Amino acid sequence: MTVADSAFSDMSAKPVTGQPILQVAGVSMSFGAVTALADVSMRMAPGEITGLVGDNGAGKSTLVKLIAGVLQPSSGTILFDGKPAAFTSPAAARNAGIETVYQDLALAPNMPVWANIFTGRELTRGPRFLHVLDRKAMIERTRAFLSRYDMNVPPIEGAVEGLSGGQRQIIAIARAAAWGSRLIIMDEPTAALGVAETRAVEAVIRSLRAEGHSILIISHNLDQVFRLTDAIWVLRRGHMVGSARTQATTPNRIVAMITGAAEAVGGGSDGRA
Amino acid sequence: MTRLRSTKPGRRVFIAASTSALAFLAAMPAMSQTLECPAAARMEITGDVPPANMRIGVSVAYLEVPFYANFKLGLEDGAAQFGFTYDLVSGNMGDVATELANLQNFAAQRFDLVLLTPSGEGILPGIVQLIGEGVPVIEVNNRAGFGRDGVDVVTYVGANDVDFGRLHVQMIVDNFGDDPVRVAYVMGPLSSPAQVLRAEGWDEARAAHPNIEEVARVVSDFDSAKALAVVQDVLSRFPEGSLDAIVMQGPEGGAAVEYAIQNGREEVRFFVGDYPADIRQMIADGKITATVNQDPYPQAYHAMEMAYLHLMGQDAEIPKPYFLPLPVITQENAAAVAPAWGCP
Amino acid sequence: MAVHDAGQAGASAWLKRNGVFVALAVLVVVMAIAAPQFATAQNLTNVLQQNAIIGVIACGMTFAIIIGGFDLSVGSTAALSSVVAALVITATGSIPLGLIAAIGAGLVVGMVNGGLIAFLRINPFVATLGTMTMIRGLVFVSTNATPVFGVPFGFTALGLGKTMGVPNLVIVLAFVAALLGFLLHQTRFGHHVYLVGGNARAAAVMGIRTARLRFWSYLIVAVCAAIAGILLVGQTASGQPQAAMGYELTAIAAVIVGGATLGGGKGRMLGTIAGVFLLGVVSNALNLLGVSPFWQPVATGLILVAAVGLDRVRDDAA
Repeated sequence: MTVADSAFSDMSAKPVTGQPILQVAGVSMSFGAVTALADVSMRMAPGEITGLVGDNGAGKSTLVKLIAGVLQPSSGTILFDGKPAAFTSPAAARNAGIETVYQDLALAPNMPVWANIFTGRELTRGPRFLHVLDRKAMIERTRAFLSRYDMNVPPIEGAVEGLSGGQRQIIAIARAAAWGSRLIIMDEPTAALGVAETRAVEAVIRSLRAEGHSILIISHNLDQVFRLTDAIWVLRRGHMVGSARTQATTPNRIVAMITGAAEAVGGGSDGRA
Repeated sequence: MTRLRSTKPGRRVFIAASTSALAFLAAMPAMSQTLECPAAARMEITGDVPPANMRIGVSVAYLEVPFYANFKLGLEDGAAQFGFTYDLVSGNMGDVATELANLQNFAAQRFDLVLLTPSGEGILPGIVQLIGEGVPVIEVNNRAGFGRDGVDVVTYVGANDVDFGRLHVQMIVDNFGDDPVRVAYVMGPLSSPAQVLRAEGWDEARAAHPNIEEVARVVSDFDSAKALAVVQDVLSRFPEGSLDAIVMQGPEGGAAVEYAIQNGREEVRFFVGDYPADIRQMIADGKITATVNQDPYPQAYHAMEMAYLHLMGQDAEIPKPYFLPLPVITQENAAAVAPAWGCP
Repeated sequence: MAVHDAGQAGASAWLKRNGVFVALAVLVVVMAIAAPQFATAQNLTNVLQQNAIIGVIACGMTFAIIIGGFDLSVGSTAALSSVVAALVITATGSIPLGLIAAIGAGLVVGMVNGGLIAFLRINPFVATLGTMTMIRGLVFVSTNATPVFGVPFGFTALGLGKTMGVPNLVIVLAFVAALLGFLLHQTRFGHHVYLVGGNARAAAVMGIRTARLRFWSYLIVAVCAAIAGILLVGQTASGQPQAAMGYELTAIAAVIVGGATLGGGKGRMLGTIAGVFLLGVVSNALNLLGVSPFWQPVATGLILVAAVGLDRVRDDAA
């Protein structure tokens, strides 16, 4: 399959009904003597936005890195779309359909928007061995793709360093969504943004869900988690201490789980989230 | 999803490029006839001198310059003849700090005598310190302390770079007589002893010959690519009929001379300094009019000899300074005089 | 969100992108008026020829600088290549063998530099300072610091000859610049060089093999330096162990004047070429105007500072 076939497909992100898109089962992770995650389990329903919350050092970043293929678990299994997902690298995870939007966005500021969208997946033309860039095709596709979302399309051919923080965030998110990814992981997607820009980014996240993408959001901002998510999972000191359907719980209960004031409130870690 | 492919275009393009470049260059014509290239004439090691069995430290400021290749042979032969062992260190292209460290190491290791080719007068304090610690110093090829009050350098062995500059004036006089001559002067690295002293002799001797007009003064850094560029610029600036000669302090002008000839500027005569194999060939071919042969081999050899005399208490026999001759090489004697370096 | 300003910002961006060409054009026009010998075919040909060798080195250096590093060993590598070419040609009598050996020497240097920087992650300054010093030393050791004579004199057709009025050196430079310009601007490889130079970590998480890309970039630099070494042999018919001293800084200066930044991610092949010739025309102009050689380094330094300084001023204003 070539990039051209899969890129920007409307259909590729449609969920398979019934089966969880992601299942983490009994995963532990140690760095030397330090245990970052202990027997952690969670599941994500397809086509939903799932929130992952917890205090600093609770193990959120480690869990995300395990899912994204940056790290490999010491023990336990991760199933993606029902299949074992022992990714040895971020590239392997991407190829399987898991995209990550990093907190620092991982954009090249010197490069135009289209080049950032296509980083590592450039379209080429002419004799195969030359790998001559097909700029025109990449610019056109980027423009068509970005205009699908309800947002101001930034200048496609301008360098990313000329864009606002919100625009950059949208570029990074759009890139994750552009490649037919089934699962998009977002690490603090609006941490550095103002109110208006946060709303714009949240709108894009919702439209991704509407297209069928499954989304895992890590956020410190509980208001945002309650605005966006369908389910919430709580990590505390390396343990998964609880989970809840968002509509069935309250910020106070989640805070209680995060701080340890209450264990297993709102459904507990029984995997029914 | 596509996998990323490696960066093969780089490799393939390079193979294509180098192949075509090679094809282009393979068609080069063969060469013309050359002079014999005799090895440097060396002193005989007689074995009849009672060996000194002492240690000499040698520091050469610009050891990396080709000029010093045969200098090293002279050190070797001189040491063998007079029974010395020696350590040879570089002054790191005229870096005074390195040179100072060299001298201090020699003092710390109690060498019996130091032969120094100084970078310039900046090393004077180092020389004074070394002598103060009881290590005698002989300057070779360049001078810094010799002849100065309070700096008790044993002697200086080498050419007189001021004479070197004067000889360039003499060459112009020999070739042009009292006719008006317009000359461009090409110098070595600014502030190096060769540049400063040769220019001093050139300026001083020129004062007596008002017919010699220096129309331009440029710098080549003794680098052949730079020499080519500055000579091209000089030739552009002074079109045919407005320049008679180019005088170069060093031997790096081969390409520049070729350029002048290929571009129809045969009327410009070239005078250069030093006598490597390629300059010798061009003098024999009539492309360069004359050069000054400052032969490094005897300088080094005789420096070892002076060291021997001093350490044996025979100071009376030491000439102070010991100037070696600076023969002028022209088309007449080039075939007969072996080059100062550049032959196997 | 901000609307892209196509007015004043556009003009400023254009000037920023093309400042070196404007400066070069202005200088050429001023010199054509100030010095009658400047705008002659002969002199302009000379300027092209004089800067071709440093130009070849700068073309390669552009890759190292865009990917966020630089290479101090290019001067030493050029000297090494010139000596290797001369030694092999005189020993075997075969020019093609000499050229292959010289390019091979460049490849070895490139692999060492690339390996140190890309795979052992040694800082490019430290790595190439080390190889620069080491290579120069090896060249002195292997030649006893004496030029290697005996290359057939006909070989100077490469360094001094012309083809249809164009110096052969300039043809080589045009060939190298066109090839590397294509590689840098039209192919995925060059595109990735910019991405890595802009944000190496981002490129890595997006699946670009940054280490391999760095390795190849330093290989390109070293091969260009080796080609320059062959061209030096073409000027003198000899291998010059002390040749090309300081070329690394001239080449880096030309690339920076041409619009690149030492931080990486920016620069263009055409800008580099313009940078090389801007410095070259200045030197030619000073010689034609008879300016004292004492002042020439001052002028070159001023241009470098002005080029980088103006860039910063425009950045801060933006």
